[in-house]
Amino acid sequence: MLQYKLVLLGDSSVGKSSIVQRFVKDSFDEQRESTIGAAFLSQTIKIKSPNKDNDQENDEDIAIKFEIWDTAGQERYRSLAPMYYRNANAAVVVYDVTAKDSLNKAITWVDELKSKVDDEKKLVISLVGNKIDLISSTNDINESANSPGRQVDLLDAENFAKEHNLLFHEVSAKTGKGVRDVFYEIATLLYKQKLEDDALNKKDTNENEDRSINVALSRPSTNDPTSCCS
Amino acid sequence: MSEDDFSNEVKSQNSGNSVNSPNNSNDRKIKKRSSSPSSVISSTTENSKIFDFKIFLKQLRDPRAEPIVKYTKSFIQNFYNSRRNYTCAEQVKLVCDFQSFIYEKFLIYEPFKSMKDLTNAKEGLEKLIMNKLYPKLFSPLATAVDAFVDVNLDGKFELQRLNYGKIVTPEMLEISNYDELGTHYNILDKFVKLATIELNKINNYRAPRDKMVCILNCCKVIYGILKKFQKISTADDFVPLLIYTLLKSDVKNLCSNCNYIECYRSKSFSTGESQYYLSSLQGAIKFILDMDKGSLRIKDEQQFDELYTKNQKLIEEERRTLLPLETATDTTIQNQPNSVANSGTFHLPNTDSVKAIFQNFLFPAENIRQEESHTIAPNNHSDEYDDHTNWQVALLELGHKEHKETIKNLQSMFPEIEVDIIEDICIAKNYNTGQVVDLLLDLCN
Repeated sequence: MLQYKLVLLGDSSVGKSSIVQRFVKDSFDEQRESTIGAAFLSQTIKIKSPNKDNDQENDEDIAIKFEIWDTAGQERYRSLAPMYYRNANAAVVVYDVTAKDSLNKAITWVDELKSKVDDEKKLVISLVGNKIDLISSTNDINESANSPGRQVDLLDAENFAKEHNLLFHEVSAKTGKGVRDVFYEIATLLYKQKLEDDALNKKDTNENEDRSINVALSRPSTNDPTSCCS
Repeated sequence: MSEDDFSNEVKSQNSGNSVNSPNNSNDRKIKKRSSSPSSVISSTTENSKIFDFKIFLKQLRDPRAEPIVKYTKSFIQNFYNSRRNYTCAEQVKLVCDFQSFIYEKFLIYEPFKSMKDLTNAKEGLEKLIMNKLYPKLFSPLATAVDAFVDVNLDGKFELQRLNYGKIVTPEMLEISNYDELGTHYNILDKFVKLATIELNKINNYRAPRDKMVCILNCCKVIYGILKKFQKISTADDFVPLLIYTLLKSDVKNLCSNCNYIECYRSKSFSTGESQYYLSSLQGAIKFILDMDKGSLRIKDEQQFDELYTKNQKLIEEERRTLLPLETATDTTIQNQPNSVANSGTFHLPNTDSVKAIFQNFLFPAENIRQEESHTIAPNNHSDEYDDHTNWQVALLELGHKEHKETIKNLQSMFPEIEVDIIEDICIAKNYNTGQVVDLLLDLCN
């Protein structure tokens, strides 16, 4: 089973935790574990292998386990975030489509992730606009101005996501609309990354067999129990 | 079966071998500490299987496992005898390398060789090594050249807790639903106190896994608070309450403990969930270390400033009256890893703890080192016996007191439930506070 760490970022009122609660609740048929409390949840889902060339895996489901790390959204706890997103494989950055300023906050999160995470190309970031249930006509972008609820234009967010190479969704944690897609899309992308990595590594090891032997030999030796730390 | 038996067994097996474990005299103490914190968590979170140290020790007694015992003893002995001054990073590397080395030996020697799952053996090895090397590796006791970094952080943390612990309210940390909580401050504080008692136990244990369980149990009680007052609990609610709990606690050497767990808890066993709560704790510590007026939500600045100044004066006064009185022996007692659950204080640190904090800050770790080297000294057997019995009696009393206090706290948290029922549940659950709180909450709802 593949295991990935996913961190949730966003203002405290955007409902980021509700999205996860919804995701976990709707995945009722699959495995979940959490023993202490709801700020950390883990959920396993199954995706179809995207790799059509691989006959063996073609028909098999791939189990992906998400370990979902919730963060405190209050501005004063922002400085704690690095503790949470270090070593993350994916980040879901949430804003509220009915709160104008929340997209700007989300953008600052994306910027921070891009600048602070070591391997930013590998980190999968999904920008998620929540609370579309509060908008009367969600499908018609042109009418968004007339919808009393919507404050963040779909196109603005979408364009930002495209520019920065982010995944993008609008969802409703309340109705569940779109929530599943957020996580399945991330899972698929992470799995694709893994296959590419595997292929690369395979190539690497073939080319550098000598080097790998050296690495094994140069492991600091505690083999001699009488000289282990002198 | 205990670690004592392990040592005896080792002695009898290696009777031809004159090598003595450098801390044999310490074994009895370790024996006591080596019991695991009672916990739900051990069976469900930390690993799907229950970790059983006794089984591992029993396996080590198998004559076929002798080489592994020899390697381990020799490693520990060399660690103690080495004259080189290591850095913390070097120590971590030595321990990790040795563990991987033994993992390989597990595949060669019975009874481990034929085991399908070596998780328990690896856990056992970690606990065994860490129990033995604790005086070398836990920063407040350690000899590593850069151990002072952790110790200084501990000092800074305790000073910050003195500065803000008394004056920070739940509102200032944006603990949500505080209006509702406000009417139940008494209950909130009882829960928080219980959480601090759980956290305090961290200094009773040496193995990283056991320390981690204490943190998880503390977090579990915090979730109990959230459950009591709200419907769902998220990080928005959890993190501020964790910070609030730390501010109201008096647990010693918290920064050192966290760093120790991070360094020596094997990544292969520590689950995502325990990582999450360790990170949360580290985040909360960082928040408190950096805390100033700007980190808090303050409605009335003037009032806050007055409170702050008043508190500073109080601290200054206490410091002035206490400093001339201090003696080195006092400090050693205060800071011994087994001087448990100094949990008498909650709202205000009592004078003893204030004193300890200053002592700790002014004379970091030196006294403890003396104390430890005394304990390690292999001669002096009669002392050792007395120590042992005294220690046992003290521990019994302490446990008794702690249980009483736990019941008292639970009673005030759940006034609707009869004391007898609370006590029965405590006994049934072996005083596992996290589990008891869960059950009581279920009973209420």
